[in-house]
Amino acid sequence: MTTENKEFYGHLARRILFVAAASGVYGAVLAAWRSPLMAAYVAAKLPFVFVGTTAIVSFFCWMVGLAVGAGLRYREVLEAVFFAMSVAGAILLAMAPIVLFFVFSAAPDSGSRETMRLAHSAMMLAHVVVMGGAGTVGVTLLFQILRRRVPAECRLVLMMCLWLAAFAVVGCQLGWIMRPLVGSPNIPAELIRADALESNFLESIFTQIIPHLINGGTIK
Amino acid sequence: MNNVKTFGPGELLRAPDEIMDFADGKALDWRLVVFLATATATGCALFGFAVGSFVDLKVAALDAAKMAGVAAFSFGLCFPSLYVFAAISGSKLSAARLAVLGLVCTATLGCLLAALSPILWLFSVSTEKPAFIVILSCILATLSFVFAVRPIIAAAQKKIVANSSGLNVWLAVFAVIALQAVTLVRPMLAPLGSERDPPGKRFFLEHFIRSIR
Repeated sequence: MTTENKEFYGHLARRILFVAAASGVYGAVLAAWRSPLMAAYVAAKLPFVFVGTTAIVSFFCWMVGLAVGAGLRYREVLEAVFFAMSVAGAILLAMAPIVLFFVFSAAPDSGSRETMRLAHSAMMLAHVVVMGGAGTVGVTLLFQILRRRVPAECRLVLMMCLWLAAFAVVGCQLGWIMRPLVGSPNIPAELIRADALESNFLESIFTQIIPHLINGGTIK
Repeated sequence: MNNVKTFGPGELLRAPDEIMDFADGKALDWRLVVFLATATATGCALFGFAVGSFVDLKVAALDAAKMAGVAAFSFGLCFPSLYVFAAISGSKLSAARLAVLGLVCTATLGCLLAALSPILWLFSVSTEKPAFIVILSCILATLSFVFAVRPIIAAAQKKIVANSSGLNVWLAVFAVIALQAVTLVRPMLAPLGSERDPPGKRFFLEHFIRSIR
């Protein structure tokens, strides 16, 4: 292996380890309100969602880069996407004690079914905001770096939009398979749901969320 | 004559960029750190005292201690995010120097809170409506936070950070943590054990809305 390759793989391995560690810590915080067992489960699962998503979309990102004239090699794309994930991981790591403080000072331990359902929804929303914000910052920094590296004629905005869409779709589906992540208070704690591979998040949008928004009914 | 630099609220409020010369690579002056920490704690304590004066002197003293604790706790909890947000904004400062930069912001906040405390105290001792004190203290604290942005702007002008957005987000996070910490140490406007504000986990927005109803 050449020195350049050694450096690249070493650098990449450190990035992957950091993303896995940071998402593991945040995963523990994510489910800490439910139970220590659930926190341990999610701490083990969230790194798979983060690293898995990045690994799965990296090939597509490379292809898109070629198509829009970015002229990036596969290893450069890998570096880029794991850089964005590392930034997001650093932000999640920094936010972990803050979110944990909110979990232990604001989220109710017990209450009526409706109270707990509301708490669960509020928590989901808060985590989506934190994780979405972290991801946005990561992508913004990546955009600034790539703007200096790709040729002027490259359609960088289109490329970034497609990259983001791929991350969003794959990330949501991996998260869907790895449910429960926040831990619904009305469902027992478990590592992976028995029906994990029987549906996908797009189905749930069309069969549950949109009908709920239109009819004002209750999501099962 | 020995040219000893002095630190006071005047220097902090008039020219925050001059007080931040530690960012230029000069050795950290521990007198500055002590001054900034004291200004933060004292300002918050005075504000707490003014809030608690609504009830009686005992609650005022208790609230003063609580507010100083809230400031210290919030700063400690937010320090990792200060480090990350500053790094994202292009800062190359060490963790210790960044902590001092954060303290410059909180000390500015403390000075403003201290300056507004007599006004809050006057209203606290002359009303019987807790909702009024909650609203007034929120307005005055918001005003102080607006001034606490000044050191961040100065840091951007001094090229300590490439842009001020990351540190502004940090200050907003600090404010949210402080509000939740205040909710955690309640009651602020009633004696300990009062039935008016029962203990239990509560989100700060819910608590503040309940308080002003």
